[in-house]
Amino acid sequence: MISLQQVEKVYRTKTVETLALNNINLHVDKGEFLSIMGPSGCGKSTLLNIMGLLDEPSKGTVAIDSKAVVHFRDKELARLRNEKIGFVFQSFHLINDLSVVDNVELPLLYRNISARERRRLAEEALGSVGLSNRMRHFPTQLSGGQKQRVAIARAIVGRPGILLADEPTGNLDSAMGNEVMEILLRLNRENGTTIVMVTHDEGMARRTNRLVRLFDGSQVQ
Amino acid sequence: MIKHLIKLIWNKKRSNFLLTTEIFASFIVLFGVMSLVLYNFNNYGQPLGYEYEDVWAITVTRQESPDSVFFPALERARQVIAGHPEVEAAAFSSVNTPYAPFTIQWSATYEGKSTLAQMVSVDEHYPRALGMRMEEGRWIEPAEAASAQRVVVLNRQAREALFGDEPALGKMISLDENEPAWKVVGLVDNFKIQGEFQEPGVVIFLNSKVKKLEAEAIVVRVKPSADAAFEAALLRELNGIVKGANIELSYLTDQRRNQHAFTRVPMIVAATVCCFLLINVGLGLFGVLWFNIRKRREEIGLRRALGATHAGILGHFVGEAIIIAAFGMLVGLFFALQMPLLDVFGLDKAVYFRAALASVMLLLLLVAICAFYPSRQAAKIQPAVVLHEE
Ligand SMILES: Nc1ncnc2c1ncn2[C@@H]1O[C@H](COP(=O)(O)OP(=O)(O)OP(=O)(O)O)[C@@H](O)[C@H]1O
Ligand SMILES: [Mg+2]
Repeated sequence: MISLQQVEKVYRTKTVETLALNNINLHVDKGEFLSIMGPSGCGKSTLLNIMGLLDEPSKGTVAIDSKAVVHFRDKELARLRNEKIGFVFQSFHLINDLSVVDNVELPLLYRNISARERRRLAEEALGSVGLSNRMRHFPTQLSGGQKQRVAIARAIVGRPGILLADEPTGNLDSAMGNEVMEILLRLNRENGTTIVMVTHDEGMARRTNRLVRLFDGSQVQ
Repeated sequence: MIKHLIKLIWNKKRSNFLLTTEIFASFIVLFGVMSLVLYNFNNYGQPLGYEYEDVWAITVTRQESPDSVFFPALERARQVIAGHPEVEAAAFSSVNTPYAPFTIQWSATYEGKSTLAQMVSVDEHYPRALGMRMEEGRWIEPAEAASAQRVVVLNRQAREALFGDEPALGKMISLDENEPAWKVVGLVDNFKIQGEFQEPGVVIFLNSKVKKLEAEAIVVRVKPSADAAFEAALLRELNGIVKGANIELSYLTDQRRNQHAFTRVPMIVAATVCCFLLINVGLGLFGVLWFNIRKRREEIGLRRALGATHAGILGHFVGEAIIIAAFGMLVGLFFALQMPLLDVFGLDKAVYFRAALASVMLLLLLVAICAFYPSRQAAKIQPAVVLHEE
């Protein structure tokens, strides 16, 4: 599904050069639920960004569906992100000026889909995270757990094969965190969605198929 | 996508209200100035109806001499002027010569239809002095002039006002209900007596010999060779002929320049004020958009992550700005539309429509330009960076 070969990422600023990722070789199988752990600053988010085509590696290759992504143009990258990948972030990133259902529809706006079909898919996605009764609410009227569930609905509305979640439970208390984790597990189990999740929670990591540990940009397990 | 933009704008109507109001206000001002400019421009484009190069207007204001002395002296003066080799034609006119700051108006009637007309008392030499062309019929003839026949020549607007589409030649019109009627012998096109910027008005030329309206001015067409020395000598000569009168000579080209300044100055002032306003609005718009886009970095990153392209983000923000502007202009158009409907200033309706169209185009262009740069900055935002900054 996703494979990284000898991926290296260097951030250069005027004063320092940071090696955020060093020779990463990683293959994520279709339907796998992988978790990534490691201390703060070890490059977990960077790794996820590269997998999600939000960032380019400095060296090495990224392949999605066994097709290497090299020198892709903006338009093609945008299409791949839109169709193949769903993102869930630690801080939700909902648009406060749009209602819940409009937020969920967002990825479909960048496809050729009729307004009615968009609405239907968004309602379905909201249903699967248990928020059918909150469609007309605005994000500011929701709890953290509800917000993250909206974000998950938005990530899956376009039926992508891959879900990339960067500390999806990081901003939630354990009860809400568990709720979100249950949804991710169910998506993986029932829909066969490939999930890569960054987490600081050993307990959650243990419930996934595989655990990858990073330390200082290198894979240690 | 447009629906999405409108929804987004609507949900943020409070923060967009100011921008909309600003656009509305500038639309109204722009519309006003555009109407004025287009009105003047429109008039400028209409034929003038005469030539002003190498034409002098001599006005003779008598002090106390009786008619029996003054008018024969004036007639002699015209003949002397016409006799000079430097002169091509010399004609009598009432004091409302072209570009002169005088108007003489009263109403003319034909079969119950009445119109207020600029009346010009003229002789048979008048069209030659001003290089006029007949549209139909003929000018007042020497014999008619000499025998004080009640004959008139109408310009196009006079004919339309009194006769509509019907033929006018040979018809009798009334200039005073207590006096005999006047016969229409000829028709000319526009005659914009107050100059290029005047809206073509109703003009009736009447035989000066009837003495309905005194002709105390002489319009002189000179050859290009006529110089200041000739002008001075001519004035000296005229003072000798028409004694005890105040004689003034002016070039039509000078009077034209003054007349134009009258129109141009308010137009330039309005346009300058409007330009500053637009620059201000543009800068304001630029600032607001810049600020909004900085505030929405996170949203931009998110949209990129969800599949928006570079061009998509650029289009999104330019589109938002244009839709907000369109709201303001729509309200403005509603008010602007009242002008032709209520017809307050009696201008041609096409002027308003063109002014509205021009204002819309200009504002759209301004908004698009001001939105482009901030939007391009927005498109350059790296999603990986903004989505992970807290
Ligand atoms: N845009 C950037 N420019 C420069 N350095 C960066 C940039 N993004 C990340 N880094 C650096 O790269 C390293 C890895 O960062 P990353 O965000 O991937 O860490 P992380 O494992 O996600 O940490 P956390 O657990 O705190 O989220 C850090 O040292 C960070 O300072
Ligand atoms: Mg991180």
